[in-house]
Parts: sequence; structure tokens; C-alpha cells
Amino acid sequence: MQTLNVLVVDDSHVNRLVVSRLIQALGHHVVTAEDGAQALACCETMLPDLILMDVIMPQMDGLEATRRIRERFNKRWIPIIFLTGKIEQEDMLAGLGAGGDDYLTKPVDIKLLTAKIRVMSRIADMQQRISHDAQRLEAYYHSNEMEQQLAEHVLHNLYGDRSQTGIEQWIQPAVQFSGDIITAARSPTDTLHIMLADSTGHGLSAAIACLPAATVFYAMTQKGFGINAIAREINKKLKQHLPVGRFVAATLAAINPQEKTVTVWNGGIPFAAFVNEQGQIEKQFQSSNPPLGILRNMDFDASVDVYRWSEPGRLMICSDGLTEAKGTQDDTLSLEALCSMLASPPGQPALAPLRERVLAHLGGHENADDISLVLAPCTASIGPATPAAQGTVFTQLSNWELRLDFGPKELREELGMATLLGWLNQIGLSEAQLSDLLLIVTELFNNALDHGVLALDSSEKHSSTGFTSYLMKRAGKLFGLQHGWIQVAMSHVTGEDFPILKLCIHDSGQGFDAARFLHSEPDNTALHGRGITLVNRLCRSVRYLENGSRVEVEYVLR
Amino acid sequence: MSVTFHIREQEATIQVHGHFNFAQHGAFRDACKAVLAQPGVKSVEINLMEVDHLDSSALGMLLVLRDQVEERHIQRLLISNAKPVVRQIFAIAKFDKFFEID
Repeated sequence: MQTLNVLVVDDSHVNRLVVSRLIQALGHHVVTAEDGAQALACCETMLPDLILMDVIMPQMDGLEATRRIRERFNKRWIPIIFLTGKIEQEDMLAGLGAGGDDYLTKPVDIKLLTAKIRVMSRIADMQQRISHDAQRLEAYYHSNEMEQQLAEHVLHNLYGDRSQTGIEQWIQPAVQFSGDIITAARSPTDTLHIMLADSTGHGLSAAIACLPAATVFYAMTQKGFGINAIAREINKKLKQHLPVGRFVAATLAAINPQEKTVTVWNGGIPFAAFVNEQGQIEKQFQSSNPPLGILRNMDFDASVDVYRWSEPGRLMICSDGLTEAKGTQDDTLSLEALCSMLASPPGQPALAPLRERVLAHLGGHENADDISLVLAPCTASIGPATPAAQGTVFTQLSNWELRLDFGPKELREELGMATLLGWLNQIGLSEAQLSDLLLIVTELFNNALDHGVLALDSSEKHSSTGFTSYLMKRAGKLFGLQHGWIQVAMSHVTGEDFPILKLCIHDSGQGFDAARFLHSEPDNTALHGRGITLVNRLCRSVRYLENGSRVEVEYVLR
Repeated sequence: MSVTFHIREQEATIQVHGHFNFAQHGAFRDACKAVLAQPGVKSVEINLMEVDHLDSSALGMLLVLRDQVEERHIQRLLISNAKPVVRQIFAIAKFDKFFEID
């Protein structure tokens, strides 16, 4: 047994001496006090491991001293044994009530004293271990709390800024961190990109798994990539970085106010739909892919679902935390009923009543899984644009020429625009220039592909009923493409005042009658040929050659 | 809530009971380990007859098992007796691309 420091409190000198001798004989150290007040003072100097306390003493008796010691040194438990002449039940209860732990009758029996000291020492050991563990646990809790706060701060800033996107969103984490994230950003061509991602599990590890997805989303949106390319890249990143069994279900959506289209790629999200102003589900975008991070990129299907609206509405996306949320009756929410609450003009806030409805459904219970919901207005405009950053000078290369040839394989895999985007992002354009050029290149390249190589009739595309069949025809023709090419040449030359970017796109098709769009005024009611009119306005010159199968434009880099 | 398994001839069956979620992770992993340690197993069946609900971590566990089964050149991995609610979850995640779901 370890050596203990024992405090003996007794007003009788003889008793103190006898008990002290006994304890010393057992191999422990002894400190003595003559009354309660002295005992308290001793404890102030050094806390003993055990106190043997007489009950009846002048000044301050044993009961009072015990009460005070308990009060004063409440952080650590010290065993206190009362020494008393006789033990009546009442005295015993009073002693235990004051905070004593046991009784010994005088004269002290050495066998009994030895046994009791051993018991108390054992309990004290245990007590100390528990208090040590509690301290460690508390320290862990604090450091964990701090780490969580830091992580929350970082994640919040990373996903935080959704200003100027016009979306409304709600995330209700199941634990401190949500494994669901919502990101939104405008592309340089004023298309709104939204992603709702739900990673395996919840908490910090789930939140971390979403990080690469968010980073790729923002970087590629800013550079003008489409959501299909973004989905493909996120899948690649997650497949590389996450262990098997961890993945991220996600819906990526692009809202294009000019074209009045919603484009969706859905991998594993249970609900994404276009809801009209009457609160009816006009189009539901089913999950047609596994979640991100499971498939090898060669097996990845980046095809998207496109819907064109005739009247404004909202895009609503929510995670399985909402669709599977169990109510008080063990029932789930009706999504039709939720959507019917969206019968209002899409510019107006509409999320709050939906959130109330979901919380009422949960009936005060905590949600078992992260809940996330996003509403995005689908209207003619996505709100005021950010002012373009000024003064980025075209510095990296002064004169260059570049030619890219795309054959059937490249066109089938839609590598054309991705390559051009990559290049446009590297030549040091200002934000405004990039936005203009993305619009020009996208329009001309898509014209060359759709109406040149694939020989699709554009009038069908712009009829209200023909759009879907146009898209299907396009996808079918592209999939089976065996012949054809598009050649893109870009050069940067010194102009009179400003440098000029020359762009020439040449395709293998039969050409088309572009002349009639070139000189007409932009007309918002007719989508037909609007793109070329816009290109004409942005460029210094636009020339169609070789029956329309070759176009040359000049853009001034002011 | 538990995971049980048995092996008859060369066919192993793993049966999950109750909610198939992260709480079952340890039990499911142990069952998989035991089944895959048996030499000569030619097929593994995951019987979900007793499963009322599964979450994304269960989908993750199934993907891990799929990798292990492939590594050991076991010819067949089958998910059987899934209830409609469970089927729905497989459908949303397009798991029919990776698993034979009976």
C-alpha cells in the first residue's frame, strides 16, 4: 500500500498520541490538529489523503469542520472517518449528513483501522482516476470544440457568399456539421450554376468530403465550364481522393435566363424539379446517375436533362434528409404539398413557410439526417451582375496564332468547348472580355456543330414544342457521328489602338443562311438567330464565308 | 439490429436485420470478413429481407464489399429480397449499375 498523509484531529493529547502511533506503525505520515479550526488550517497548507476526525471538540466540532472542509475543497474528495466514543444511530446519521464517510469507535482497534484505511485508500484512488479522466475528457472536449469552430468558420466562408445569385437555401444539420452543402455562382455568360451535394454520413468527415466538390464547382463555373464538364471533373477528383464507400450524391443545375432553360445533372438526389407559379411540379429531374466519386471517369455519364420553361417558376432541389424525414406519425412529407406552397411569383421569398412546414412535420424531434433545400427563381434575369473587374491588361503573349482541329471523336465527346474554354481562360483576358468571348465562341462553335456538322434545322429549336425533340435529335446525331470536323483558329494581333483577337471557325457542313440574322436588331421575343445578332454587336466585324460554313470575327481587346 | 451469415456449399449469404446504417458497420464488416475468409466461396448474397431502411453509409459498405468480392475473383454478388422502400433508394443512387439486385 502507498504511504498516505493522514490528518488526526482530536482535542485530547493522549488520543492524538495513541492514534498517531498506530498510524505511524502502519507506515503512514501523520499531521495532527487540536480542533476543527486547526484542521481547516492544516488542510489549507497541505491536503491530506485521509482525515480521522473526533466529533466533540471545543471551538469547532468535528461535524462543522467536516462540512467546511467539504465546502472548501470540493474539487477533490478526501475520505473522512469519525472517531467517537459510542455510536448511536442519530449521531451516525448526523455525521454522514455533514459529509463524513465512516465511523470508528474509540479506543481504536488496529485491525479495524488498517482495514478502513485500505478501503478509503482504494476509493480515493478510484476517485482520482475518475477525476483525471474527467479532466482529460474536458480538455478533449474543449480542443474539439475549438477545432469544430475553426472548421465551421472555414467551411462557412468557403460556401458562404451566395449574394447576387437570388437563391434561397436552408440547411439543417443533423449534428454540428452538415454533410450537405449548397453552392451557387454565376458563370461569365450569366448562367446561374447551383449544386446541392449530400455526402455519405454526416458531421465533419462528411463536410470534408464535400470540399473538393465545392472547390471544383466554383473554379470551373468562374471559368465558364458547363455543368456536365463540372460534374465530370468533380467525379474524377472525388474518385481520386475519397476511400471506397465514401461518395457524394449531387444535383448540378444551370439556369439560363436568356434561353429560359434549366439544365440538370442528377446523381443520387431524390428530388429536383421545376415548379411553376401555380405551385405545380412541371418537370421533375430524376436521378439518372450514381453519386459522384463512385464511377471511374471512363464510365462516367455526363449527359444532362434540359427543360425550357414558357412561364417563370422555381427550381427546387432537396436532399434525402427532407424526403425521408420521419414525422410524429412515422410518416414522410408529401412533396406535392410542399411544392403547392410555392404558388407565388418566383422573385418573392418563399422558403420560410416551407421550412416551418418541415419543422412542424418533425414535431420537435431532431432530424436523423442532414436536411437541405434550395429554391432558385427561374425568370428572365438572375439579378444585377457583379461589376466587372477593371484593368486586367493582356500581357502574357503579344502575338500568337492557334489552330485546333476537332474530328468526330472529339465532337462526340464534347471536347471542343472544353478545350476552347481552357485556352480562353489562360490568355489573360479581363472578366468582361472573357464573358464576351465565351458568348461569341459558344455561339459560333455551337452553330458550327449543330447547323453545320449535324445539319440540324434551327427553326425547330425555337418553337415551343420542338425544343425537346430538337435536343433528342441532336444527342442522337452526335452520338452516331462518324464524319465531320470543326476547325478553330484564333490569333492575337496588334491593332491601331488596341490588340485584336481574330477568331475563325470553319466546319465541314453545307453552311446555312446567316446573312438574314446578321443585320437584324436584337429582338427579345424571337429567340431565333438572336445569338448571331449578339455576336455581331460584340465584335468589330463578322463575316460569313463559303456559304456560311466559315465565319471570321474580330474582337477588340479594349 | 444485427448481421448474420451462413455458408452452404460454395454460396455465402449475409443477412442484415433492421435499419442498415452506420450503427451496423462493425457487424457488417465482421460478417464480410468471415465470409470472404472462407476458401472456395463462389457467390455472395446480401439478403435484405429484414431491412426496413438503409442510408448512404450502407450503400458505402456495399461498395466496399463489391471491391473485396472483385479482388477475390468471386463470380457473383447478389442483393436479394429488398423491400420497395429500399429498392427506391437503390434506384435513386442507380445502384443497379453496380449490383445484381434481385
